[in-house]
Amino acid sequence: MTNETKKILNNDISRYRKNKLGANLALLGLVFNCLYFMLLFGIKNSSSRFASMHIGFAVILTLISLLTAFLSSEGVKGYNKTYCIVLIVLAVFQIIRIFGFPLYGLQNDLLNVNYFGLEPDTPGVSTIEFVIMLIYLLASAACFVASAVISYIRIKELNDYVQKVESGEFDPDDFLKKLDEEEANQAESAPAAETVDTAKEEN
Amino acid sequence: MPEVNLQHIEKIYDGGVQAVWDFNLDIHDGEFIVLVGPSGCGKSTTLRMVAGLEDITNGQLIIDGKDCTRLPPKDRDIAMVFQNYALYGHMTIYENMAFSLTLRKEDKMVIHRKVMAAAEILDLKTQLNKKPKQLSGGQRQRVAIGRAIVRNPKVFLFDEPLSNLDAKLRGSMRRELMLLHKKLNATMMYVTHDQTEALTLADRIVCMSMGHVQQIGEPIDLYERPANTFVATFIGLPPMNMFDGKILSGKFVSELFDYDLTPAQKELLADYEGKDVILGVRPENITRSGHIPFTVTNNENLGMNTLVHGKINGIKIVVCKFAEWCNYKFGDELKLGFESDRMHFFDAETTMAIR
Repeated sequence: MTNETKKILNNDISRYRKNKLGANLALLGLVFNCLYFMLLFGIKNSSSRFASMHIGFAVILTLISLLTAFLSSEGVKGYNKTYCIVLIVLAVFQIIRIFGFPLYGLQNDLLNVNYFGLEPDTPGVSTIEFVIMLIYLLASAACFVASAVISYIRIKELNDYVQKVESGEFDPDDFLKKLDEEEANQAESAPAAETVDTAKEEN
Repeated sequence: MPEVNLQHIEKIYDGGVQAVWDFNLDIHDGEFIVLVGPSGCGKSTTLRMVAGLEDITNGQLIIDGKDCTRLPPKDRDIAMVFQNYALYGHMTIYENMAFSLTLRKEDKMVIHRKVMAAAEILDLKTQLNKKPKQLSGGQRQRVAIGRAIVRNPKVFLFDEPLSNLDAKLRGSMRRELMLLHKKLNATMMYVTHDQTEALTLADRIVCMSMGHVQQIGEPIDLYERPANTFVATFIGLPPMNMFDGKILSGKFVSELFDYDLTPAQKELLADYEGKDVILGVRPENITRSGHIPFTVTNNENLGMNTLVHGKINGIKIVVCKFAEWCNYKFGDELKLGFESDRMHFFDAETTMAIR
């Protein structure tokens, strides 16, 4: 099967199958987001008024971002281009968040959570936890970007393909029939070739 | 397509109830076999034993030369279509049809081509993105059949697939099934209690009663040459009229009427002089040119023909089918006769046909 044939078949499959890769990547970004806020909300020492307010604000932001990520995942699953933009915005938001509480917590030594077996209040624990938070947020952003890019490419290809089909420029039924016929002919000619080879050997 | 051989198959349930007795059948490749019989006759049990959904107590099941008696269902390469469709409501039609192949981890392009080919055969291409609840009963059943087709199984099994459909849809689906069988040339086993389905679809019919096979044969055989009184009364609508009587001096003598036998009938019944026999006559083989007195009780016009119900001698209820529009009224008197070459005689003791 040629690459062109595979591409056409993939596009035709997209007409009936959902964009699961794009949706799953968006959901993976959501999982990293969850891991991030599990760490963030486990902070024990939040005596600073700024930290308390920030965490309260972060709760609202997290809820919004989780909901948006989930909706976007469903959106790209159904090949909706708008949600690719939403996912990019979410990715940018995740990166901007790094400069909010995680950085403030690091600078003020507030990140002291019993996480991954780390002992709170030991020197340097804030740095480790900041790095973990950083990884989570970056991973989440990366997943959103990947989901957006992959989905955008698929949606564009599918739209072009559907346009061709709808305008009558391309008939997928004819294409599939021809493909079946070609394969049937190949299957018929293969034993014939084998017979010729055997006859030659016998001679 | 492979052959299926059922040899001395029996099913005994844990409580000791025997549902199927000594079932023997060789199904040839590409053959459409219909198991027909009343509820509880063991036809579905037999089909489920072939599918592997019920254990076979005794006997041997051979599919394509391979002993499948104790093989689990997944290894038998058989597809079954159920009465209740068994579709996944949360999946689209495409996903439903592709499901079994996805489980087998087949390449998605191969799956796509098989699903599209099946959808083309079943005229489901425009429905592929819909959910089952958006389709009609007939379309849902077509999806269930499509799910079987994509697997390209050795044998297709159908367990009363049209029972959930209304009469009109059942008729059109029946025709579609006939076409499908021609297109696929597949080996099919089909269970139904509807004799119309059996007569129209089958290459051969297996008529069952109380777990026993009553007759195996082509539809015309069961209709024109029933093996016993059960087959005679079960096949044909309205059922065959049966009269108890004796053979005495070249006559069929009953409490209701005497009937002079033809020379061919006398020869056939030579050994039954003085013995009890049962005379069977189909409603469509009753004529209005005879001597048997008949009083009309009901007149049902069906368009092309008329069913006339009535009594002979005020006792025996008889149904006649006349190929015209009739307007008999309650109490009208007729003189009935029988088409002599269409009369069936059965041994009253064994209920078997006399041939």
